[in-house]
Amino acid sequence: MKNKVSKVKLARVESDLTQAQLAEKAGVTRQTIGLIEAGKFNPSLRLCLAIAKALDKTLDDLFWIEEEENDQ
Amino acid sequence: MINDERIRSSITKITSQVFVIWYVLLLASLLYRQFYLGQPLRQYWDIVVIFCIGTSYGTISMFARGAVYKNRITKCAKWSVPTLLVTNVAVAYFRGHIETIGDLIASIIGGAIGIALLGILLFFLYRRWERKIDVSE
Repeated sequence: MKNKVSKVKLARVESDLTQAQLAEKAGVTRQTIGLIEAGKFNPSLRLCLAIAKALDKTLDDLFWIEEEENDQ
Repeated sequence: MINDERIRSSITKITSQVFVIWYVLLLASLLYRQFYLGQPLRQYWDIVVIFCIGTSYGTISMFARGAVYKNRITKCAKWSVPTLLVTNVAVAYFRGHIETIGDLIASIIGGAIGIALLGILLFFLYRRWERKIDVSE
């Protein structure tokens, strides 16, 4: 879960966006982006797609859980 | 305009918790009036009506929108139906409505018919939802 969150954060930083800017693009509040990055909120598929689109990434890039992560 | 799903989800959770609190307190109030104060129904029928409307709406909505576990409902019915029947007879007895064997049989048959009608209604609603979304086996 933590790794998944890091992927979103990494992609956001790579895109040179702040949480507020990403939140505006995805149509949610900044707090929600913060919680997703911290692994404290499970976004819906619709929101995952909005975030992926805003960061110009695929769902796999941002939210795919690797086998090792799953086992932990 | 921002329509944040986290906020919507939190509001839904909180309102459902508030509903549960009110529901339990309403039920406690009914039981207190009925069994502790011994008030006749006509003195608190308004609370009974509110309780019945809430319960009916909740139950019917769950079945009509497929928000039930079919297997669990079947298992649950095995103990809840006899419990409801016994409760119905017990309440009728303690309220002094059962004086003869005929009253007892009438109470059991009445309860059974009521439960059967409720079961048929809920089954019909669930089947209607299944047909609507086309997932019936």
